[in-house]
Amino acid sequence: MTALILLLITSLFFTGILVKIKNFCSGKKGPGIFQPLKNVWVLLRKGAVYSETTSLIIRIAPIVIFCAMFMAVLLVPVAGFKPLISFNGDFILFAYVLALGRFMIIIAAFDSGSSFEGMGASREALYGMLIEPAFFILMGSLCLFTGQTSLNDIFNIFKGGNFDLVFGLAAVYILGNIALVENSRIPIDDPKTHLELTMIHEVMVLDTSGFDLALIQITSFLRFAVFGSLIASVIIPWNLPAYIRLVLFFIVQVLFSVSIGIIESFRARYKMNRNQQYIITISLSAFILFIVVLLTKNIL
Amino acid sequence: MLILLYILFGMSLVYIAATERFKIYIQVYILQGILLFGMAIIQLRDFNFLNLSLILAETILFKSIVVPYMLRKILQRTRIYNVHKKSVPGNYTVMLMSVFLVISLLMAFVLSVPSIERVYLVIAFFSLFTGLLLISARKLLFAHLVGFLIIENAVFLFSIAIGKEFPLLVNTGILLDIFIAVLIMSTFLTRIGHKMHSFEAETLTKLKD
Repeated sequence: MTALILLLITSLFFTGILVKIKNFCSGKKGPGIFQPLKNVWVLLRKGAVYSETTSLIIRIAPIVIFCAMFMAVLLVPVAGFKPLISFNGDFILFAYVLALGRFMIIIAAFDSGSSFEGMGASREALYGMLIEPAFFILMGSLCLFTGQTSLNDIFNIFKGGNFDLVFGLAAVYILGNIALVENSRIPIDDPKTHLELTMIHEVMVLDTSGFDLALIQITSFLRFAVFGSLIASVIIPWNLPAYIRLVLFFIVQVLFSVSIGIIESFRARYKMNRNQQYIITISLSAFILFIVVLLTKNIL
Repeated sequence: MLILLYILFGMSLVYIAATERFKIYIQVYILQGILLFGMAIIQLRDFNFLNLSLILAETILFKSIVVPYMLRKILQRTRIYNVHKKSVPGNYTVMLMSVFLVISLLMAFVLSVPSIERVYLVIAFFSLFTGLLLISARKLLFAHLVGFLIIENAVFLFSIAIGKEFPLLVNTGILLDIFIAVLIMSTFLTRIGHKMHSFEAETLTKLKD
């Protein structure tokens, strides 16, 4: 239960800090840290408007997307605090509930009947297809390295072994890149762009409004917190006292959001045709890690 | 520590295959020189002082300072900063790299010797294939040059893998490394550079006596 509460608390301020850092880097004062939450609160009190061309899919999609992400939240360990649901092979369920959310947002975009949304859905499907191998190869590497198959045990990397630090750092690097792709951030996608032709995630929710849009935005807050927690779980040694882990967890989360803010402020977005190359490179990096684990563990 | 160097070296190979800017090629080559320096220090620490100094000087001075300086000079002279537009796109080169990684792994197992660490062999073969890929997939001579230098790094990796058993081989490898690189650089900086302004590999067919 502690893991769930910590994750929910983190999701409340993550996007706010990110926006604050971006404003600070561009010399603006900008809105407060809790402004994204206030926006969501306003949206939650509004009703949704649906186009006549849409069907039931676009009405149920936001709820399914939110539930899928919440399911993923229940599986994620938080720096030594056990998740509510944990079993052998749960990382496969974790990946597939994320994929279910992606699938629903894609078919909802197609259902809207807008050509822009169809274009965004096509891009989302491609990037989703390319990033999943990276996640699975990374998980496979960590499974081999730790000898465990549950998320709660896999991320308990620091046990005093020779290669803990190296594999931990490599896992953080790959997870950080996966987080950027999964959350549709720079260098893959720019959430602040105003041109539909260059949008990926934002263009898929152009026809979503009110309560439904609020659910989509809460989902993206949770997704950030999930990946932040996975990174924190790798970095923080689980054998530390609980209160130290708690403090370190929040520090890592804040640093993660600050680093994404800095990346978004000082890094240009890739051209659309370069995105695949970037994502395949992440998968290949994970593959290198996998082979090094195979060789160092003398598995082959 | 050695494992971290292997992983970084492998990632640097992926990066050099994916990037299309020659400035990055040079930066990655410098990084590889530093990584080889680290590997040599850890792997060959039992060597006598003179031998080890020569090896370390070769990696840090030659690979990280002298050769990159000459490569920069070539770029400044030719004013070509990106790979040719007709080159194989980065998507395909990165996918080919994953195939090469698997092939490297298989070859390391087929040719494995008990006294040599397999990780060295995998990374060395991977480096060799990356160099060959740069030579075959890129159109400009500069990329071919860097490809050749990457192959030399592979040779250096092979030599430090068996350095404990054959110390002389490491020095021979280094001499070959320096000889070939200086030969190529001097040719590019003094001869071909004046005649070939386009710097494309295809123009080599038009060279006359």
